[in-house]
Amino acid sequence: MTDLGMRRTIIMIALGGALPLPGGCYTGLSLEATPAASGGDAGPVEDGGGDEDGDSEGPEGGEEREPITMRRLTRFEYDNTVLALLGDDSEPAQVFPPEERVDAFDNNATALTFPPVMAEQAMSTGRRLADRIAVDLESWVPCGTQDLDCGRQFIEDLGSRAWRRPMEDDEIERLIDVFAHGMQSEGFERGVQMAAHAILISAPFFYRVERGDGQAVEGKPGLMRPSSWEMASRLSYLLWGEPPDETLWQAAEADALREPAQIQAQVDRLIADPRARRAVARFHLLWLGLEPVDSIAKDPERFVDWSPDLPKSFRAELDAFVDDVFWSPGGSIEQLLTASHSFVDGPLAAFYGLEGGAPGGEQLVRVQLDPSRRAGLLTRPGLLALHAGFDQTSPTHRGLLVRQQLLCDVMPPPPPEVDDTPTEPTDDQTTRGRVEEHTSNETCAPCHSLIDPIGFAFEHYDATGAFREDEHGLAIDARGEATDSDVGEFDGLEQLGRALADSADVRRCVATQWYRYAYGRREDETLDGPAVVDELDATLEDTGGDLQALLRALTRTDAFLYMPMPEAE
Amino acid sequence: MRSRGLTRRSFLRGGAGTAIALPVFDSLRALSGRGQARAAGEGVQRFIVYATPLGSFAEMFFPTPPGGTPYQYPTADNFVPRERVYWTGDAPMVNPDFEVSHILEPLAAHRDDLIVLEGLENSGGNHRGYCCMLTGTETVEVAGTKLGGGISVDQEIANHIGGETRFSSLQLGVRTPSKIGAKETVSWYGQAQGAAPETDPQVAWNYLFSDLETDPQAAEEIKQRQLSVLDAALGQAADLRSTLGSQDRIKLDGYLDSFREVERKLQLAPATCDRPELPGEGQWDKDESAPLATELQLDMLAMAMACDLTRVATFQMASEATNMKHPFLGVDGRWHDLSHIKGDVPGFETEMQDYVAIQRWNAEQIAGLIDRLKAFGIFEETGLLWITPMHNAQIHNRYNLPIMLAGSMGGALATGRHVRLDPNAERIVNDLHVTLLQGMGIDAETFGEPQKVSGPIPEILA
Repeated sequence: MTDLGMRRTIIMIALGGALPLPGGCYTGLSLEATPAASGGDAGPVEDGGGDEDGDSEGPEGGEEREPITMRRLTRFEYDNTVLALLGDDSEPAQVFPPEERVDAFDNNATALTFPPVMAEQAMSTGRRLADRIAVDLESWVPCGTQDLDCGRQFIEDLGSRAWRRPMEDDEIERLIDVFAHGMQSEGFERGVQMAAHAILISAPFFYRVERGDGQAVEGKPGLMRPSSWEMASRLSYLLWGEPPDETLWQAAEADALREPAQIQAQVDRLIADPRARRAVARFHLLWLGLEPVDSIAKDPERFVDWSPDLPKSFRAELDAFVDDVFWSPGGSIEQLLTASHSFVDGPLAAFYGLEGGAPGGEQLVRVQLDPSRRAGLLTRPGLLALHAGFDQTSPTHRGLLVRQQLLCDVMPPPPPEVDDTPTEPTDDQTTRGRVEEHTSNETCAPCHSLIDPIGFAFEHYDATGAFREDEHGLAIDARGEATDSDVGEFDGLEQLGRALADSADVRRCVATQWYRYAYGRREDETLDGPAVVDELDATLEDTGGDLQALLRALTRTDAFLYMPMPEAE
Repeated sequence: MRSRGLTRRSFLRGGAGTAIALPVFDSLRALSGRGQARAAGEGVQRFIVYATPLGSFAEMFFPTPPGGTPYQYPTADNFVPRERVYWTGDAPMVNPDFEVSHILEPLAAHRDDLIVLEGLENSGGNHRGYCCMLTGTETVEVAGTKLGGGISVDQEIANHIGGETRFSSLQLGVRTPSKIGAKETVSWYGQAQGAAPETDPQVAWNYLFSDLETDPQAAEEIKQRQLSVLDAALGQAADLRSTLGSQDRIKLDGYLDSFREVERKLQLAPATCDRPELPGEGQWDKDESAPLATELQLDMLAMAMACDLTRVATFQMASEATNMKHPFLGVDGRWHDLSHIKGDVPGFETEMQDYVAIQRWNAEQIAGLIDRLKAFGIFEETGLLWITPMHNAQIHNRYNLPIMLAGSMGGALATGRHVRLDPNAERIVNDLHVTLLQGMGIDAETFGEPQKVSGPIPEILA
């Protein structure tokens, strides 16, 4: 029944074809992706290629791909945008189809398509938002006479804000036609509603369109500058995840977002604003995959201290810890991976067994944890429990977290014919023993030998993230090794955190992940990608892994300041 | 446009959880003579999925085989832990004289329209099988979340016939979370692309019916306004396109194609339709409101079909990750906890009966849906699939799924029979999907992971 040859045709999701797999992982198995196996031709990667086939034309194919510059708003950005634009905090984009993830990120421009169901949802959501504008007419249309001129003024106000640039005359005229249609059939309010609806489903609203100034930059062959309007959006969406504010708007209007110094002044201002924390939190949410932490479930029979309320506390701790490290002066990769302070609410304090009892309720309190047990991000129960099973730990999933998110290696999923159901835990064997037994065969070993020896370092933490001295009386062996990297050998999680903090591979990976998030593309989608990552990595090296320095550096690269000149046609 | 011949009055509803609830079946029966008008043309076929989570109780779901004795609830003394899979017999069988089982009893009036299908294995195991029972694949994992591994059979059908109606397909739910996931979602547009059901009847009503005024002229004006809005957006995008580079053009073509499809679909909407009343607001995430929510949702589902707004619909009762309870049945335990009945727990007899009561209640809902479709005169062209991801309440295994079909799908299916496939053939649910696709006139030899397909099931084809 399980025919290997047939099974292989299943799509290998998230597997970049041109990425070198470390070690001998997956040797002997062909990795051809066969999109037909997905069963539908309306898939998310039809127009331009996503992660499945996108890399086949990458630099190693010898052909340069014109970078996609037009980025569709993600659901997160859409919600922030309608909040900024209309004051609507209902998060309407949550009904849109989920973005296809490339690596961990939801904002890869190539993968952000516009499937028919999205258009259907955009149509009805836009209409609902337009209805609200029409109901609240007075705050939108302050003019005295409700006539065509007043309609024009409304269209210009809303349209230019929605498109993040001034409108051209023919664009205004087109919307006035829509307005007039509504006004004729049902009056002024209907005209406003229809024009607003048309604006809210328009392409310049959904896409960040960039045309550039068309002038070659001296000393930068093939590059031009984005217009000041376009730069305003680059800045605000990167650093705030929302459209330009009034100050950026005025700067764009004065065409004062062209020189690096002008741009850096805005970067300073934007980073100092609390909204930057939201955007940075978004990066970490995606990079570290924190979203599912909220819905962690564990076997209540096996773990008597488990409570279904804990995941919320776990998540709050992770968010607060990452936020604190990033925004503290000098906050660094090292602190992220080794710091032993944290933020706990009542249930989490009890979970950690903190002396002096629990702080009250849901309030997060800064505490110092035992540095021998709780040093760095990886030792926090949210990540430990997330990357573990219902009733037992998973060295494989924990190892994968390090391999993929911290070392930027792409690991293939297990061959489809493999039964990956975890074996039932028994009392006469450690988890490590069971895993080693089951993955030592020639099918599993090539990849698992890259993953599991990292995950074994986590074995002093059970499936809920609680520390354990032994495993039902059996000694725990937490020694491990990250082969094919500069991380080396370690014994236990404290040593692993330290080794990762000292690793140049990890440092470069952090730079790479930020590159992907900031520019909405993989580093191998454009020819200059690796050089830009080099530059970001150099900033990290020079600053001792300073994370805020990295964020600023992202706004100083050629990838951020410039864009390619269009090819002559 | 022709009227469907039903009055709005038959769907009178009060607000906030207080149904006036004319007994739906009575009001429909009175109208059934007038329900024969068909807006759609000949050869129309429809497909509906009614999905329940957490398995069933196979011994009480499958009909008692000829010569057998009906299953009795065990007592603590004779309780046998169910480590094996229950089959009604060890050889293939087609029994046109079957009697409805205890769980299917509420469907007795429709016995001749049913197919009870025994002998298919789910495509994915355990609770994750929820996502897989309609996709015929295993899950895929994206960013730490397990998701459907391919397109589901309802969406595959919608891809073929959905272009002819205002909505390609419709997903409704009761007590279903908004999250997309392997345990939350049964309908998938494609790999990892879940189709979440709408659980708020008022939102669903607005989506389906708000543009369908009873006054045809008013409805036409609404349509023209929408087209005007779309026209402006499409015009804007077309102008923009001419200024873009080649890659951006490809990007924008996706946008243009999708909105052109919206425009085309808008023109397919019937100008008028005797829509149900706008449902009141309710606390639809509360267990107590589930019966009313179900009634409203199934009213709308049936009416959307009758108005030919869509020909494919999927209804989800709760989800595999549910914490739903059934206080309205006098059942205290959570659905999921009840599904893990163990014979050594005091009071297990009650739990077992509670669990079966939930199954029977769902059978009642399906019977009500069939009543509606019959009243509208569209049942014969419909195929309805009731499916759940696991075999048995006590053991979460994927084998011998309790599956029921209702309606001949326009004469394609042979109803009124209990079909038992060869227990040794190890056939997978993919075979059912291939059969359904072929029954819908779709040229399909395979579905889902191809190695799981052995071919269509002639025993259920007419």
